[in-house]
Amino acid sequence: MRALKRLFTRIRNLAVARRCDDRLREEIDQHLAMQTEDNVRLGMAPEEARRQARLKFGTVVAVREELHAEEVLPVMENLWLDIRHTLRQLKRSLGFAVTVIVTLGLGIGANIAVYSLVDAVLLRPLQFRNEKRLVQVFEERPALGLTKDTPAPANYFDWKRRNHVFSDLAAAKGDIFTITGNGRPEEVDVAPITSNLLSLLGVQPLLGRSFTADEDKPGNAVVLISAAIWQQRYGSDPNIVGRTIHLNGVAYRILGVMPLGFTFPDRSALWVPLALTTAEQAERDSHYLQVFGLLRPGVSLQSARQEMTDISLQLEHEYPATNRGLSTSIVPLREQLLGASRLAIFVLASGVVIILLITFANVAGLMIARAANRQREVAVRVALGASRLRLLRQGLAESLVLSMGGSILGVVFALGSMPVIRHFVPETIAAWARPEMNWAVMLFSVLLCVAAALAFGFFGHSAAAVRPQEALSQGRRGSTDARQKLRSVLVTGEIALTTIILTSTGLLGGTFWKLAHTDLGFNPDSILTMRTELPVSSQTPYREFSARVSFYKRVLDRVEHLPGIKSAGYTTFLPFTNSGGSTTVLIQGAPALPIGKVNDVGMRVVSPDYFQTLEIPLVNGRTFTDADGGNKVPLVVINQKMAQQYWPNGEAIGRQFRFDDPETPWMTVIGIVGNVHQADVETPSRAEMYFSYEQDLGIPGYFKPRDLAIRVAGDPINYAEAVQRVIWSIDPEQPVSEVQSMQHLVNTRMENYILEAKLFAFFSFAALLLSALGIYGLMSYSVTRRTQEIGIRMALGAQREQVLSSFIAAAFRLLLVGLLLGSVGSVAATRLLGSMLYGISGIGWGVGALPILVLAVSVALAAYIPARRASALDPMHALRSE
Amino acid sequence: MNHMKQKKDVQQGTLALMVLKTLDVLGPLHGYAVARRIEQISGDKLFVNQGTLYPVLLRLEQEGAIESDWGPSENNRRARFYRLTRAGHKLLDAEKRNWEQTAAIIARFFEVKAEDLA
Repeated sequence: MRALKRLFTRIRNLAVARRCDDRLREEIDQHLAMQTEDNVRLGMAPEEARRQARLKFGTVVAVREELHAEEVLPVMENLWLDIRHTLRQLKRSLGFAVTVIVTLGLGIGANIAVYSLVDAVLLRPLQFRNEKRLVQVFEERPALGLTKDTPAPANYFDWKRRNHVFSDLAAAKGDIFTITGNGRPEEVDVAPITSNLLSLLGVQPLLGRSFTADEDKPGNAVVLISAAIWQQRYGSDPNIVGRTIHLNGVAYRILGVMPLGFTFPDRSALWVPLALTTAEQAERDSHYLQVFGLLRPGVSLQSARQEMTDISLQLEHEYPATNRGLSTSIVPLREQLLGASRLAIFVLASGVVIILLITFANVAGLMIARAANRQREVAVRVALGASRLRLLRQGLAESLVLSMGGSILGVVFALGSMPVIRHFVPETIAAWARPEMNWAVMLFSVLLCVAAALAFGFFGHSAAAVRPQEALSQGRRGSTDARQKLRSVLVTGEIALTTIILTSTGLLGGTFWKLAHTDLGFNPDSILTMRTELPVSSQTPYREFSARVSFYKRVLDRVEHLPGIKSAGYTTFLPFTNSGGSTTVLIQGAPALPIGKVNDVGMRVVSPDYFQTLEIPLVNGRTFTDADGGNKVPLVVINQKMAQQYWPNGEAIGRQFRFDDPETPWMTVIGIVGNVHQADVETPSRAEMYFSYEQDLGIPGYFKPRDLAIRVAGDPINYAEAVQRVIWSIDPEQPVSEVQSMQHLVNTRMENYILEAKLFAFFSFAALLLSALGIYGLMSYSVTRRTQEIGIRMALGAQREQVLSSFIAAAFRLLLVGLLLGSVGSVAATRLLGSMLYGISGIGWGVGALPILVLAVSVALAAYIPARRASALDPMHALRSE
Repeated sequence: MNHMKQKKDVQQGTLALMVLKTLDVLGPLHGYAVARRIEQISGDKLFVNQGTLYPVLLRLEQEGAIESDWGPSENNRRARFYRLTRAGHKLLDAEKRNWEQTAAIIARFFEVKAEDLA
């Protein structure tokens, strides 16, 4: 207790030491004055009285020293002295200090930034309660190549009734509503959901309440709104619950507001009851639900899969017409939401770990070299009586100062990189997964760095155990050989790791290059795009086909007459916005298809100028004209893929096919156009057909044209306002959304590749630089160490070229071993990267040879500079040097 | 080095006990007065370097056994007066018992004769 109390007092005294010292000085002065007075009273002369008083007191300075030691903690004071000593030392070797601090800063900064991302996306739980038990349930129909398909309502209800593995199952689907009435019309994603979905996820409304099971029936116009809509359209009105919002022209009662950031599923902004009619509930061949399940506590994914397989078999037996070959798959919800970025993040993290390893290897090398250089200084100090403990402590103080400097720089780098890192989060989870400066991660990185630096310091300064006589008499040789060998091992390791990073970068860069140079099948330059989704509910005139066509025609006509506009076209979905729907067809004259096999063809409905606007080339025949509206013969334009697939002999024009429904008429192929990458850059085109927007072929409303593409002169975005004004002059209630240039749309899809390639380019550069620094440091130290030896060799007749080549050869031996090890690692890395690569398989000659060349040149350069210094030595001078 | 440290500790411990007893008997005193009293009581038999008193006073204060404050001395100098606290009284009692026990044990050792151990 008493000891503890003293400790605290002493720690406090560190801060107030000055004041205590003043107090003591005054006390001592008064003491001496009183003793002097007493002495004078006893009859001494004043001078003698003062002298006697001092004698009796003892040495004032010694007392003060002793008192000071009592007052504060000498350990801490010594630490401060050591740190000040270190700072002075480092000031003298500024290059060394800056190299170590920047090296550590880069390594740590990258580490913090990327781990903050991994933490936000992979490690931190989803904001749903019970997230470990949440799964998504899909239908699968392997015979048709359908995996992760959205289930049909009747199947969902049967699963719900028959299973024993889920606490509950809930369902949702996707829709798009238009908010009308007060303010600008706005088109938003809507999720019609079952009443139990929110409680299954464990999410509560921020305000108001969720739906009841009673409200989950047709005819209930109730809605939950997102916090974003609540803030933007209603100014965060606290009395929002019970107010009315007009959706597609219908009044809905607002039941509640969802928490900020909640947009599940996908990017929903409104939630309404799913409210399936009895007829809809019995549907087994329309597959459109998203089904979510909460596993019962203790039930494994494995047993849930088993039970669902059993139920699927029962249903297959009971409803062979619809359920033949239909099974299910269950995916943990988090895995489903994360998708492919899981791998990207893992690869990124691996890259950072490699950089961190190289960083540490380099810092270790630098510390070892520094310790070796200071060996004589240390020996002299030991000989003069410095305590070994004190020397070790000074070595550690240096490590501490350097690692703290590196940490601070690292944190600064990490903070600066946060905006870039945020781009890596997949859009679907961007609402809640925001990588922030994670202080736990930061603390971990900093501690790791400090620990590593202290270890290097301790290791390097085992120099404190040096025997002064030996060190002083031996000169520069001696125990440094072991250190030199260790540094060689470190540098070899660096080269191996750099090889892995360079190869990976080569592969990712190659992927990016391939993607950037893929022929998309259209020209995305100078195109303005926007979406005008026409409502088709029973309340609007657009439920009529003719009203929709008249809208499109008026918009296209007015837009094409605007100055600067070259052409304009409507389509169902523009490329890169949605992979679009497909349907099955029967080819006239083709043999009957085997059971379970269908001709699935992508489908779009377009206006005549659409092909010209996107510059989709016409290969054969013709595209639609304005005259085709009156044509009673159904016409169709197909892509090359479809032509090759069904009429491989090249006679597609004039041939006929129809939808897989005996009621529909035969349609005639009038033209063949080029293939277009509809979904994204990576996915190749598939068989596709285009219909004219003027021919009413009874195609479902889903396929109605909604996306407008406009080819302009100059920057597309400059035309956005004029075009929107035209649309609103035709229908002031019509929402316009997703106004952007086609190039932007394409770039957005390329963004991840661009960022990955950029980050890896950064990794490569850093790794290359660090490795080159490592080699340079090693060689240049070796030259310094061997100056005398070189002098002797040259005095004995060695040529400058021989000296030069011996150093380069030494560097290349390290390079060769490093490359060999690195190649093995690269093969493993390629496996890992596998599914992130596009159009590149394995290590091609280019991606393999280029990094090796770059690395070899860097190593040669790093070794050449010190080697040249060695070969340029004046032998006489070198011999005399120490 | 260890040997020296031990010796100082014993000395300091003894001096601390003297300081505590002096303050107990005479009430609040400044450093010089404490030094004078110890000198007077122990006579010429104990040579105390007066300066060594101050580290002892500081340590006792850190331990909470004594308190100090500035005040006027008998001839109106500014002086720091030290006063025993309650913890100090307890400490003094404990140290006193401790010392008496030690002294008694040592005394018995000196009284022992060879034949007593036979």
